[in-house]
Parts: sequence; structure tokens; C-alpha cells
Amino acid sequence: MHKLYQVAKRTFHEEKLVFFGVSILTFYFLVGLLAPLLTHFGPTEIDFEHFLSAPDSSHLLGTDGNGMDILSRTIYAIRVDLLVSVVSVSIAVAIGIIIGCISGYFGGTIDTALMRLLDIFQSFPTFILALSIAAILGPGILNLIIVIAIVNAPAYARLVRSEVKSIVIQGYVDSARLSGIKHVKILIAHILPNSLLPVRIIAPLNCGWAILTLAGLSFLGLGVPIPEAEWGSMIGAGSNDVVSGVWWTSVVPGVALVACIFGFTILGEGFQERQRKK
Amino acid sequence: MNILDIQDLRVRVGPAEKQVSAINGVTLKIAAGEVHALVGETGAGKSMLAKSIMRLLPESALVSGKIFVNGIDCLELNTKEVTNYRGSVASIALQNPRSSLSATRTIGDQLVDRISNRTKVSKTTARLAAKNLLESVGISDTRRTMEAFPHQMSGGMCQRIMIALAISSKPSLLIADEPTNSLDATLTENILQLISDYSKKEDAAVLIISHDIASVAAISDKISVLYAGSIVEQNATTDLLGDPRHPYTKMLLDSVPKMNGLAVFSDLGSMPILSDYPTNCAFTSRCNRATDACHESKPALIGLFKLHSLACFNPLDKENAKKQLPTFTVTPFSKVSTDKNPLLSLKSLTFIYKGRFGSKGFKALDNLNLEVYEGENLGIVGESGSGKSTLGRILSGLEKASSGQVSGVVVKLKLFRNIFHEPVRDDVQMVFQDPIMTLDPKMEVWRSIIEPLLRQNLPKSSIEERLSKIIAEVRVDASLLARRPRTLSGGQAQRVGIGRAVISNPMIIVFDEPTSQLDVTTQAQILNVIRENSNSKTFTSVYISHDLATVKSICDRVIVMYRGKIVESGSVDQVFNNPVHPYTRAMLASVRTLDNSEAREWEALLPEDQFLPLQRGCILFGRCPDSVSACQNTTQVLLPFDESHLVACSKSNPGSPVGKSSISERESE
Repeated sequence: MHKLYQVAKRTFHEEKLVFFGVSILTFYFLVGLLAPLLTHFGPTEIDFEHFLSAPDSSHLLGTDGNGMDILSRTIYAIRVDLLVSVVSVSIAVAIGIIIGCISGYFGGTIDTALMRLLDIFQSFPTFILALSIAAILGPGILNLIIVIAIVNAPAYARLVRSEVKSIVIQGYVDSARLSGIKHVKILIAHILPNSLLPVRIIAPLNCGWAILTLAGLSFLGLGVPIPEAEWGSMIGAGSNDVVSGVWWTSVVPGVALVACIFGFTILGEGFQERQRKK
Repeated sequence: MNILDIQDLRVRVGPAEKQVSAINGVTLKIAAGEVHALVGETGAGKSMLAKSIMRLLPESALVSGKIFVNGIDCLELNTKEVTNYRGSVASIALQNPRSSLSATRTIGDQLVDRISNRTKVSKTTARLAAKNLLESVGISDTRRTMEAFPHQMSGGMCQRIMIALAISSKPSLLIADEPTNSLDATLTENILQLISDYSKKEDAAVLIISHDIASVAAISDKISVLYAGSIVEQNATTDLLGDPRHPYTKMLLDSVPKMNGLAVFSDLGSMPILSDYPTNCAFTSRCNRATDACHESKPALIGLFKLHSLACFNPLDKENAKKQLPTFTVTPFSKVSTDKNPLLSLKSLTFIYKGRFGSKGFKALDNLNLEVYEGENLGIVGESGSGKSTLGRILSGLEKASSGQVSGVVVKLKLFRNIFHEPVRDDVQMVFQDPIMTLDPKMEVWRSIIEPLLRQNLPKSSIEERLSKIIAEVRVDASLLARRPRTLSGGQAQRVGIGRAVISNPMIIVFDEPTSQLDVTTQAQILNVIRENSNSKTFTSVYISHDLATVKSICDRVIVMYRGKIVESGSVDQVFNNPVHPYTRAMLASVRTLDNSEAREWEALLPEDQFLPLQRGCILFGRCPDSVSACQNTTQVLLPFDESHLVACSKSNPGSPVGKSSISERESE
């Protein structure tokens, strides 16, 4: 515990961006984890006496048109949103590394074939692609993870490929080949550790975008099925009420969403800063 | 009159906790019309001195002392005055010309900018002036050069343009920072001549900064030797070279490889990085003459006799200064070894770097035949772009030839990146040019060294045993083993590189310019390590270099390459002492080493025309001083000049039948 404090103190002084990024995300993680302890209502629990009621002592941040507690729903939504974004980005990174390594290391026909395949994916605007795949697969958390992983993977594949291509011509890779080390071992021992740096910068930023994609899909009704708490669908449901002065149904999840993305973004920028200093 | 007058300059740079005392009390005067060379190893503070004069130091640098240029106290100038001062009073030709020129603008635009900034002239006048400038730096095709971008120019051309930029407003002080770094020998000479011409013509002071003492010696009037931010010795060039009195100067001179086969001196020390103004002589740790006085106080630079100044308590006496190291005996290339079957033989090998989208590609190796025999030390020399590195990569199996065949004892050379083939190694190792980038930055040094053993499934104890034996042989300190490559010096890293190459007892080791990025003293260490290992072990070595003196001191057979072809091959003695091919002669004529700074009788090559398309016939046609019109249509082949000495020139090789009959043989392409 004391060591953790030391690390935190040092990060606070030397890398403010990383410190605040980690702090925000840790806060979200803990709140999401302890959701049942922090809320009086379940995320889909309907209070028949309060429909669209303004924030008051019983519902701190008001209720929506179905009489569900906005605070509870916003808190429970953390679980869905963080899970989907982190897991989908991890899968995207994994797919990207595998494709990027094969493509960049072996080059030639394999490289060309894989890159043209990625071209097909990347020739669609990301969101349109996500939209169409989501429409085919149908709603559901697992499907969302797959959709977001698929649309993000090509960017990682290209990123890793270009890094691998520049590392493959380095002397230490040639030395390893001269020593009869097998391809897979060269990739794991020499190429991967030296090519993951840009991935480490992009991945946190990407987690933020993933939440945005998820929210966008949910907003359009292709994301998480309706009663389930999710920021995007909450904003979508509440957006109609804003004109009649009912702001809390959409603004509260909106603020939660923005702050979470902000956390990811400054973490990514903090990593970038750290690299620039080196 | 002194153009440049530096008085007790001290510079400290870097953040407070990691401060480096880069310049420690430099006093230096350069008169009008004088070419002054500043030599020293990497980190001695050479570039820092140039930056101080140009006011290019970072804001945070702590500077004390005075720098007068033309009587102007340049450290006191305000921002506006500095702009005017740079260029018109003092000017610098920066290191690495290709990256110092703007990549997105044409050469012409950059020159015109520079000219019209100083003097308010019309664009036409400025363009005319720019063309004249280009002519004055020896570029004949000014029209096309003006329209070209830096990446379209060769390194030598970029350096010329850099100098043209620097002299555009006729500065009274011209600084050239490593002007000949990474240039071929033939170009080095031209560039240095340009700089010295400027000084004579404009009566300007010139400060040449270089780590290569041999090349600057030819044109400089005086030399200052810089060590750890202090000048240790200064003298007229001939006196300094012939009669060095500071132990460091002597060491520096002894480290330079000589064409006459003298051994190179080496020690394992390195220059300290000072964090504060030194209280003692910084050279003490490497000096065998150090006494208590040297540890206690810093010797001042004292004027001795005429131009000679020295900072040493125990200078060498005349006898020691002249003392030479014993001549190194080169094992002569014996004819016997060629009777054996070659280890490797390459037949009509061609390598083409593929072009994309219909472009023709670049032929790096062209119909090349070569045999490598067991136990020999084969040298491959040639200028950059001659295909020598590509040849090395094919010999080691890292690259696959476009056509032709590789055969011999070592045939399992399949190391290309192919998903269907795992690398198959048969005892070929390589030592690369950039020692630090050749080691995995994320791996500890010891892991890198033992990597070639991993394949053999040896028990841990025997690996450890081998490791400790090898690091002693390549003089790697055991304390370095747990470190990461980035924290090593170039010399340490290259010794590690050699260690990993020899640990698996390979049959062949290919050395690809192993010392070209190192200082002379470090180079001497590496050469000695290579030589010791090749004497005590049984590997055959292929040594690729553009530095003829090192090849001469290490190899016993040599091939000379030009544009992907072998133009001459034979024993070191045959090729270096009795060169036949005009290219070999020109290359040897341009070599400046300390022991033969007088010009050889051979003619230099004509300058290469950048924009001329590749000729048919002889590859050297157009540059060859001896060429006749028949050469334009004749493909030259390697034919014996005498026994093992082969030359690809029908004109210079009267012994070959080609001279008479097959001169009309057309290139069949």
C-alpha cells in the first residue's frame, strides 16, 4: 500500500496526464464494481410513482419515462460500457498483432493479400461498417464486442505491420536468423517487444472511441437491448424529452460518457508524452 | 589578424541533475586565410564548440568566456543581431547534409532564399547568383540541380550544396562540421579541396571539424586536438603529425590504420563524460605517463615553440614521439588455398532490388562470379552503392539472389523470410555496421551473445562456460553483461557483436563495415579484436569496407567492386601495390592516410554525372580518364593479368586476349 502511494505520488509530480487518466478510470472501475452497494434501485427497477420525475431526495438524479432511476442506470452502465470497450479493443489488438506480424515479417504475396483484405474493411467508414455488421449479427453484448473488434482491428494490423517492417531490417533480426532461430521465436522474442510501443499509445484512446461507437450503435437501437442500462441507449431514449425541459435523462449519462472517454484520452496522451520525453 | 578568437570558453549543457560539462576552457585563434582542423573523438565537444560560435546552443546552456568573430563579441549579440551575424559573419556547413537540407523545397529555391534574405535583389539576379554559386562548388549541370530536391542528389552533391549555402554570403568564418563523414574516399578529396579553395580565395578563416585526422591533414594549416572539452595539443599540421608530444595525440595517430601495414595501437579506455569542470587532466585514466601532478591539477594549454601549444605535464620526448609500432605481418594469400575446393562459390550471380509499379528496379549485383576459400581473409572494397553489402548478405544467406547460383560446402543457406521455410543455418555469422542497432534494445547483452548457441540445446553450464571464455576473448567486461545495448558505447557494443558472431564457432564470418561508425581509437580496438580472433580461431572471414587501409591491414585477398561488378581481384599485395584497373588506381590515389599524404601518380576519376543514364559497355565509361570510344560498346570481363590477379579492363590489361579480338563483344541484355 505504501509502495502504491509512492508510485502515485511520483506519477502525480512527473506525469500528470497519466495520473489523472488512471485516477478517472480507477474511479469508474470501482464505481462499476461496487454498483449494488452504491445504489438504492436496480438498473431496470421501475418506480411506479415516479415517471420522469426531476432530481429529488428519493431519486438523486431523477427518473426516466419508464420510472427507472437515472443514477442507478448510469452506474450500472459502467459495467457494460467498460467491458465492451476494453474487451473489444483487446481482441482488436490481438487480431491486429497477428495480422501485422505475419504481413510485415514475411512480406511478399502474403503481405499483399492481407493488406488488400484490410483495404476492403477500411474502405468503409468505420461507423457505417459497424452499423452494417451489427445489423447482420443483431443486438447483444457479445455481438457488440465482435463488431467493435472487427472495425478496429485493421488499423492495428497496419500499425503493427509498419513497425514490424522497420524492425525486420534491423541487424538483430538478421543476427537471430543467422543463429537459426525459428520464425515464431524471432517474432516473439525480438519483433513483438520492439513494435508494441505505438499500440500502447493508441489502445487507450481507442477504448474511448469504442465506447463512443457502442453508444452510437445503442443510440440507434442496434446496441444493447433496451431495458439494459447503457449510456448510449439512455441518451437515445432521453433525447426526445430534452425539448420539454427534461434534461436529466440524457445529460447525466452523457456527462458520464464524456468523462470516461476523457479518462482514456488523457491516459493515451500521457503514454505518448512519456515516450516523447524518452 | 585573427578572424576567430575564443577565450576560455566553457559550456555546460543538460538538465541540472544530468549536467554535462561539454567544453572546459577552450582558447583558440584562427587567422584570416587559415584552415584550422579540430579533431577528436565522439563526445569531445567538437560540435558543441561549433554551435557556441554559431549561437546555436540550447537556451538552457551555461556559457562563459568570450568568442570574437571579426572583432564582434558574438555571445553578446541580441536576437536580431544574431540573425545578421549568422551567414554573413560566420557560417556553418552542418553535419549530415542530406537531412540538413529542406526535403520539400528544390535546391534552387533554398539557395535563392538564402541569397535574397541577405541582399535585396530581384529574383532573377538571385537565381543567377545561385547558379554561379553552384558552379563555384563544382556542379556543372546547374540548371537541373536547381530544380532537383535533396533526396535526388547523392551524398557528395548534398555536401557541395551545403557548402554553397554556407558560403553564399561570403562569411569571414566558415565552419564545416564533419564535411566528409560517410563520403567515399574519391569524394572526400573534392569536398575538402572546395573548402580550402574558399579560404584562399576570400581570405576567410575556416574551421574544419572532423574525427578523421588523416583526411583533414591534407588541407589544414593547423590542427587542434580536443579531448573531453579541452584542447590538449595544437600545432602546424606537418609538425603535429610528425612530432606529436601529447600522449593522446600520439595515441590518436597510432590508431589510424596505415597503408604500409603498421600495427594499430589500441587501449580499452574511453573518454570520460564530465559533469563538472575538471580538476585534473581528463586523460589520466588512459595515460601511461600519468603522475600525481596529473591527478591533482588540470594542465593549461601553454604556447611552446612557434605554433606549438601543449597541455601536458609529462609530454613525450622527441624519441618517443617518433617511435612506431612494429609492422604487422600479413599472412600472404597463398596460391595453395585456391587449389582446394572453395567453401562457397557464386556463379553469374545477379541481384535486383525490385521496382514497384512498372519501374525497372536497381541492379545491385550484375553477373558476378566469386569463390571464397577456406581459411582466407577476403576483403571486399568499393564505394557506397557498389553492391558490396548486398554481396555480403548473399554470402551469409540472408538474401536470395535474383538469378545465378550459390554452391559449395556451405549450401544450407536459407535464411530468407519465407513462411514455408524455417531459417536453416550452417555456420555463417555476420558483424554489422551499426553496432548498437544490431543488438536487440530490449535484451540484456548476455542474452544477445548466447543466442547463436540456443539452437544447439547445450546444457546451461556449458553455455555459461562458453560465454565467459568468449567475453574474455573479445574484451567485454563482465559488468556489461546485464546491461541493455543502449547504455553501451559504440566500441563496447561492437565487441559484443563480434562475441556473438564467434561464440558458435562459425565457418564463415562476414564483417560488414564493422568500424565505419566508430572513432579511430575505437576502430583500432575492434580491428585488434578481429585480428586476434581470426588468428586464434579457424573461421574464414569476409571483410567489407570502403576504408582501404583497414582492408589492407586485415585481409589477404581483396576484390574491388564498382556498380555491382568486380573490376579487380587478387592478393592484397597485387591489388594495392600494383593496381591495374583505372578505378582501383583512382581509389588508391584518393586515399589520404598519414603516411602517404603526397599524391600518387595515378589519375583521379572524372566526376560522376548525376543525370547521365547508365551507359552500355564498360561501367566506368564516362568517368574513366583512359577511356577510348571502343570502351563504350565493350562489356568488360574479369581476365587474368597475372596468375591470381584478375582485372576487368581490356585497355589496361594487355595480357588479356580481349584487348585485341573480343573488343566488339556487345552486351547481351
